[in-house]
Amino acid sequence: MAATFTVEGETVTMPVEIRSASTWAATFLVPVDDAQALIDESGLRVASPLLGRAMVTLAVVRYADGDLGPYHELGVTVMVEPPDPGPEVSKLGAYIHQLPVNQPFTLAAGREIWGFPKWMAQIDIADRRRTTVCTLADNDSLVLSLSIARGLPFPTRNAAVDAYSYLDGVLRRTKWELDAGGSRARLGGAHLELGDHPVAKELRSLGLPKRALVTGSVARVAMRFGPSEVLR
Amino acid sequence: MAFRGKVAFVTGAASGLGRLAARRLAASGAVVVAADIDEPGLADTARHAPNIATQALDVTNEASVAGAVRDVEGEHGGIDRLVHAAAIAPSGLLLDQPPELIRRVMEVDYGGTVNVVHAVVPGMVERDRGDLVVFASLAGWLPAPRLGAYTASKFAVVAMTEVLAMELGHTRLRVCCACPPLVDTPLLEQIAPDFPLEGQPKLRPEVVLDAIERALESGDLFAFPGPAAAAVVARRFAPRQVRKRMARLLL
Repeated sequence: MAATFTVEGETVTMPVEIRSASTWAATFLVPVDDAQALIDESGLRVASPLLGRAMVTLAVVRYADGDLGPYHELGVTVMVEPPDPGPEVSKLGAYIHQLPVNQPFTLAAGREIWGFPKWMAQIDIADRRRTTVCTLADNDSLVLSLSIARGLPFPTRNAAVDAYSYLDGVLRRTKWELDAGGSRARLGGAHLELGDHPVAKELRSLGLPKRALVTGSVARVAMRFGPSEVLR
Repeated sequence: MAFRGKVAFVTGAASGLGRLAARRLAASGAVVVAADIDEPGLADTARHAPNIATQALDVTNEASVAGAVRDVEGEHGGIDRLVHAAAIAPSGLLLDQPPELIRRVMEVDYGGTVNVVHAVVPGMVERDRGDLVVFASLAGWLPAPRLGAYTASKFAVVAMTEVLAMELGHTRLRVCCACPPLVDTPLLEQIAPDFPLEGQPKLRPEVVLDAIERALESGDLFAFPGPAAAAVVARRFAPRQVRKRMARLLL
C-alpha cells in the first residue's frame, strides 16, 4: 500500500508525480572550503568532481501540472558525497540548501514530507526569445536575478538523483526520478545579479556572481518523488 | 513576460491546452479566472492553486460571456491576458454529420471566439495593454477530411483574428493566433471516433504554449508549433498534391 501523508488536511500519496514542468539551471565552480562552510551544519561533505572545485547549481523550475499544484521554485544546490556510500547509493548527490517557492501547499508538503527547506518568496520567470530571466525576491527585497541564454539541443535520458535535505536537525535523502525532453545546454550563458538579502550574501560567500561553467534548460520534464529516507 | 499580480482569463480551462495555460499562469502568480462548461474539470484545474478562480461558462452565450468578463474585471481589475481555448471537434464526413451539428461547431468554435473577443478586447484597447491568445488550428490552413465542420470554423477564426490584428495595429496589444497540428489533449477523444489518429504524430501541449510565448515576444501573429509551419508552406506551394495526400491519409 502506497505511503500517504496528510498536509493541510489533504492526503498526499507517494510517489508524488509531476506531469509537466520546465527547468532552467546554471552551474558554477566554487572553492570547496567556501561551499563546505555553507553546508557544514548538514554534516555532508562537498564533492569536488571537477578541477578540485565544488559545483553549485541555481535551478529554476516552473511546475505546471503536478500533485502539488502549479508553482515556481528556485533551488540552490551543492553537489555532495553520500554520507553512507554503498552499492545502492549514488556516488554523487544534490544537497538542497535553499528552496524558495511561491505557493503555500507545496511549501507545507515539501517541508513536512521531505524536509525540503522551502520558504515563501516571489519568483518571476520571464521567458524571452533568446533568454529566460528568473527573479527571486523576498517581501520585494531582491535576492537574485538570473538570466540564462537559450542553449543548443542536447540529448538527455531518464535520470535519477539523490536529493539531500537538512531541516530541523534531520538529514534526509529523497530519490528523485526525471524524464526530460526538449533539453538544451551550453557553456557559460548565465548572467547573475545579487541583492542585499541574506541568501544573496550566502551566494557572495561562494564567490558569486561569476561566469557559469554550464547552463541548460529542459522544456518538458516529468518527475517522481518517493518518500524520504531519514539518515540521521 | 512575468505575470505576477496580473489578471488572466482562460476559456476551455477544464482540460488540455486551456488547463495547462491556466496552471502556467497561476504558477507565475497571476490571478487566473478559469472558465469552461465542464465544472468538475475546472475544479481539478484549480486544485492546490489558490490564485485560480473558476467560472462555469458557455462561450456561445453572449450575455453570459459579457457578464463573466464584467465580474472578473470588477473583482480583479482589467484582464492582462486572454487565452481562448474553448472548442469542440466532432469528427465525421460532412455529408454524415447533421447540419445542426455542423452549425453547432461553427457556433462554439467561431461564435465563441467572437463573443469572448467582444467581451474582453474593448477593455484591453481602453487600457492600451493586453495579450490576446486565440486558438485556431492547423486545420484553419490545411483542410482536413473528416474534420470539415472543425476546419471551416478554424478557417473563420484565422481570418477573423488576422483582421482583428490589423484593426488593433494602432494599439500596444499583442495578438497571437495559435495554429497547432494534432496535440495530445482530451480534444482528441472527440476527434477519435471517425478519424484515423493511429500513427499520426501528436505534439505535447507544452510545445504549443512555448511556441505561443515566442510568437508573442517576437510579434508574430500566427504561432505554428512543431511541423505546422512546413505543412502550411506545402499547402501554399503544392495545394493539389497536398489535397491528394490528405485524402489518401484520411479517407
